[in-house]
Amino acid sequence: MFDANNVLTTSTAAAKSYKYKVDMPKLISGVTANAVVAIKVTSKSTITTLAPTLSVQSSAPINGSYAITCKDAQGISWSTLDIPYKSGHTWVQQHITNKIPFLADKIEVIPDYLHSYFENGISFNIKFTGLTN
Amino acid sequence: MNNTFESWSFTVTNPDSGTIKLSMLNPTTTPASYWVSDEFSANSDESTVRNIISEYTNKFFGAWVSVSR
Repeated sequence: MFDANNVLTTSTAAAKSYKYKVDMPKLISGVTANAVVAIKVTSKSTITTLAPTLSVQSSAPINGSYAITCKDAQGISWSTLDIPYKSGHTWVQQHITNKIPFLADKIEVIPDYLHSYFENGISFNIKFTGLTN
Repeated sequence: MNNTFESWSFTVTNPDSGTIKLSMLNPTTTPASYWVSDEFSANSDESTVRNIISEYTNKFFGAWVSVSR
């Protein structure tokens, strides 16, 4: 909120203008609106809009695929096939145990829900349960 | 790589208790068409504006927005 001198204020009584900042928490392709128009019904206020196309735009949603590579005790690298980005933790574990045999039955992949939306990112914890065998 | 999230704004000067609507040109429809919000007061609090805009963003983009004033 801003007062008559256009200085930021927390006082509703002193406020002469309200600037509403709208934040989208999910990565999207393009914008949520190509234009935003304010329609006055009974208000006498003056309203100006700064549409998403003229403001901060979202970076592209994350997608595609990835692979996981691990070295065994002899220094040999083992890699999974490409894992589709939106695979859940059980599929990630399946990919690892299928292609990295020294980890088979020795890990547990656990989602940690760091990101609110798949589009923003994914994150897993890998719990080692028996690497010494 | 850091994520950048969409952010936009609108400003109400001399806010009163009269009502307004927001009209959003929706790019997910073919052709793009305007979605029009319910009426809300020009001096609404952040929560009211969030609910108004989220009706649109949740329907077409699957997410609620946050609004600060």
